[in-house]
Amino acid sequence: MREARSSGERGGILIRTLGLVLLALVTLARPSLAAPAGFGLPEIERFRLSNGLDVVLERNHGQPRVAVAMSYDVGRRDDPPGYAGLAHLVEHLTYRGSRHLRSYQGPELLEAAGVAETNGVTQPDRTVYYAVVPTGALELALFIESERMAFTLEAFNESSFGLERSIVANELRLRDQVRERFEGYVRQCLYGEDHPYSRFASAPEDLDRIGLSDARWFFQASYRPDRAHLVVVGNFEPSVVKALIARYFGPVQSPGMPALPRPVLRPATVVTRRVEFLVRGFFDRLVEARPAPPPGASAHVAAEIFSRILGHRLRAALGERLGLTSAVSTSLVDLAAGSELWIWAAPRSGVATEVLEQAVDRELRAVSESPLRESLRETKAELRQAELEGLEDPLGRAWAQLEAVATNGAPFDTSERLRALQAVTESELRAVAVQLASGPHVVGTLVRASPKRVLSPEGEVTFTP
Amino acid sequence: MRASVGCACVLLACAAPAPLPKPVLPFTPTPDAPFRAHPPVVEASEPSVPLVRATELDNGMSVIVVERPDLPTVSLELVNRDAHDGAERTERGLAAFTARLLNEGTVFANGEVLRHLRINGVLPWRWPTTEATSIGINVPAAGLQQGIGLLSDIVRRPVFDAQALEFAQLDMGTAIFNQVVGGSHELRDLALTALAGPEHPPVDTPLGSGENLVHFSTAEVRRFHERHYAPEKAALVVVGDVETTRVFELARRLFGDWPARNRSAGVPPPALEYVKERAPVQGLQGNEDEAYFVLALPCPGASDPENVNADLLGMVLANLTLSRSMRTLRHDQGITYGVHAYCESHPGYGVFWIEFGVETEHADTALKAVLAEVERLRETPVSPSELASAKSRYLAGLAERLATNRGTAQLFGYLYALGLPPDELTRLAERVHAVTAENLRATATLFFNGRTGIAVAGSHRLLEPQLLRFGGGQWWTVRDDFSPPR
Repeated sequence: MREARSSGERGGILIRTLGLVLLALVTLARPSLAAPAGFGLPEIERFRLSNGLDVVLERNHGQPRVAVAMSYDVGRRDDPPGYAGLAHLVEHLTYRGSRHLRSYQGPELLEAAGVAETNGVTQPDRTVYYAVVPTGALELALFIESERMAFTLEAFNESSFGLERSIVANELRLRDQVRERFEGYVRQCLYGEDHPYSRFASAPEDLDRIGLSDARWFFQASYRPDRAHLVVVGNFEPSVVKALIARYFGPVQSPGMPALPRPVLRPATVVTRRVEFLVRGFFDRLVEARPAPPPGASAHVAAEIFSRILGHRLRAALGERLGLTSAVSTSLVDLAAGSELWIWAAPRSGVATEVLEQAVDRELRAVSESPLRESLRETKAELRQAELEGLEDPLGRAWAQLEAVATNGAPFDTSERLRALQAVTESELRAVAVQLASGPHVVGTLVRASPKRVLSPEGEVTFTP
Repeated sequence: MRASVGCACVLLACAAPAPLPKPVLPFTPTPDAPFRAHPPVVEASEPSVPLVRATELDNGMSVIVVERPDLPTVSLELVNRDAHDGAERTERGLAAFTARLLNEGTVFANGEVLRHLRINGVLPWRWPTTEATSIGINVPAAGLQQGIGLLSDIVRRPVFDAQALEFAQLDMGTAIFNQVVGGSHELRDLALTALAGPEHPPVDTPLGSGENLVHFSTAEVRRFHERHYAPEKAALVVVGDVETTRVFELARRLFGDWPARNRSAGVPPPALEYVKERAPVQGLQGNEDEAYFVLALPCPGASDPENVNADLLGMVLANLTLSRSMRTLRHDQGITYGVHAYCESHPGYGVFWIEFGVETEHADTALKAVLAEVERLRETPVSPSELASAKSRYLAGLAERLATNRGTAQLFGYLYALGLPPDELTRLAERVHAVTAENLRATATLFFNGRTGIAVAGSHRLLEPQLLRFGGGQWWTVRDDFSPPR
């Protein structure tokens, strides 16, 4: 819908971390920074309805709001070839009413009930609908999501389809398309041109090709309880919420057709080494993208810590000491097929991207060879603080649950997370650092060029093996 | 391999894709149930305004505390309400630049401040506005003393050396550059110029301009700091797992010896004066396929009780899912992705912003429709359901801010910056409930009186004919030669 920000269940086994007092909290930081004893963490419970709906409940006693997030295992990567934008368009169409709700009545009711945030988001791996509401509006939020799942398709019609297709086209125009395309080209280098992650969010000719029947089929193949995860985070009475979930979602049936097949995705391998994207009216950027240890692997936490340390060091070295960049950042991107370590650098005026690339690689090697003990300690404290503050954000917790279920097959457990952070040793961190510094990677350069040099308004791209 | 993306047409990609399967019947296999006939009834909820305790140190500094023991973390916010830009255009951005430089170190540990803060958790955030500068950090509850000590060092013992100045210029230059590249800030500036002339006060984040930035010296920054950072114009806001008496004690110990300046009132807030003659639409050369509009209208200032009414009008006009503009332009016609409107309030004046992007061919239709809706707010009272939804959304926004330590600290810091008492929030909820449809109409009549600055980014060639009925356009080119300073 509107722009947003922009995630074990073992056959019904109950997983609980009831009121755990964390030893890790006390031992992780220096004594002056220790958390007080008696601080309780959220209670987490996971179960599956008979129709296949996966449910995660996170009860947080101090939280005045409740977040409801419904995630479907369908995303941009599932757009059939030639139909880019179909998942996004179907996400939009589900707001056009249901058997019991008028068009856009769902968000209207939530607004009247005091919703803080609500949206629908189509990501590469999933489509998520969420709402953060006062606890008293929890049943309303569940009702609306159950309507979306069970009674929306019959409200799809030519009129609403045409309007939403036009709205999606308007949305895409507002986005930072240069950056999105550039990221797409870098992913083509990481995964190969035919990989689902290498597709762009949409292409106008594809959007025009999509018909109402396509949208109906796609909805039936994807929006069904056996392909969905419901997460509720907040201060609620579990027995009451379970009864509500059983009432609204228990009777929901999947249509009489198979679900959309989702093949196992090939992880990033670096198929092409370099890409240059010449565009009009943008600014120069250097990107380096590397395959990183996947979520769930013990090395993933070390990679996360390394990404942060590297960001700090690159800013200090390239920005402050050498004066080569006006901005530099690092991020670890988690996708279903694995993780990617991205470095973005903006060269200062007059600095050639080749010079910047050499400096980035030199600093990367230097960091991987330097003492890491102190940085490791600082970053653990930084991440631990972020985890504690994250408990104030029920929507952030809901996203973490969706990520964890998708990548680890188990709910997000703060105590496990803090234990995993605490367990990372300097030698593990160095091993990951060396692996990332010396492993294959993609170099992407976004180059601002004059209209005389770039004939196509959409830019020119050059791949180099 | 080299390819022009616009022309690239590999045989495979141009072949028609395989048709997709057909949907199956029935569309709805799930049985209906009587309880689905009506949406569940929701109990009304009110934002929970926390208990606030405040004191004033002997040197005039305010200390505001909210105890929230749920999480072992604390948000700290140091607000300096005299640290904002004045009317002098060549000094615009100096307040934000000084705040940026404060993060570069203290006389005790130059360069170590950020490192200390990293050890403690999250990096500080700076919040320069047109009426104050705030610096905030989050720390674990056990790091309260260290956190207050760091804030004290940051604002009282800065170094302002040449190296730090260069780093800060680079950083701020990038921020200004990004603002210019985005175009939105430039459009706002043009719209406000059309409303209030070229000498209008700053809006948005007051980062100033690249031209000003490169001329700021350490001497100027030091002078600004000496003049505008003083305890009698500052407040420490502390929210989280703390005891009030302990915070007061620490504030006295760590800020108590900050000498008062005993100066007269600081920089007077700027005022907005409107141009006498209607200005043409300000056009910024941009993309061919989309027109992005920014409209600027007068609205109440921060201390004007009617500013709540202006916020509610913004929701009825654009911010609700079924707001008037969203219904007309998005849901019924599909020609826009969204419309946004709100009142940006400052001491003494306010600017009501309306923004939307629209397909170029529908630019005049959309602009006419939005202006007609503004006019309708003057002429017809809003419906009871519109008013109820707007109030609910407004109070939900307040509740959202109060749900986190950081949001609460920022909210009370903002009240202090505006010169409003901490208990203003309690009265705010009461004021919202008391607003009537007639109140909204009266506010719209008073402020939406035909004075409107309009700016648009898009194709000069395609838009100019459409803008004739709105008085034509005056066209500008986006500055494309700006680079962050070296």
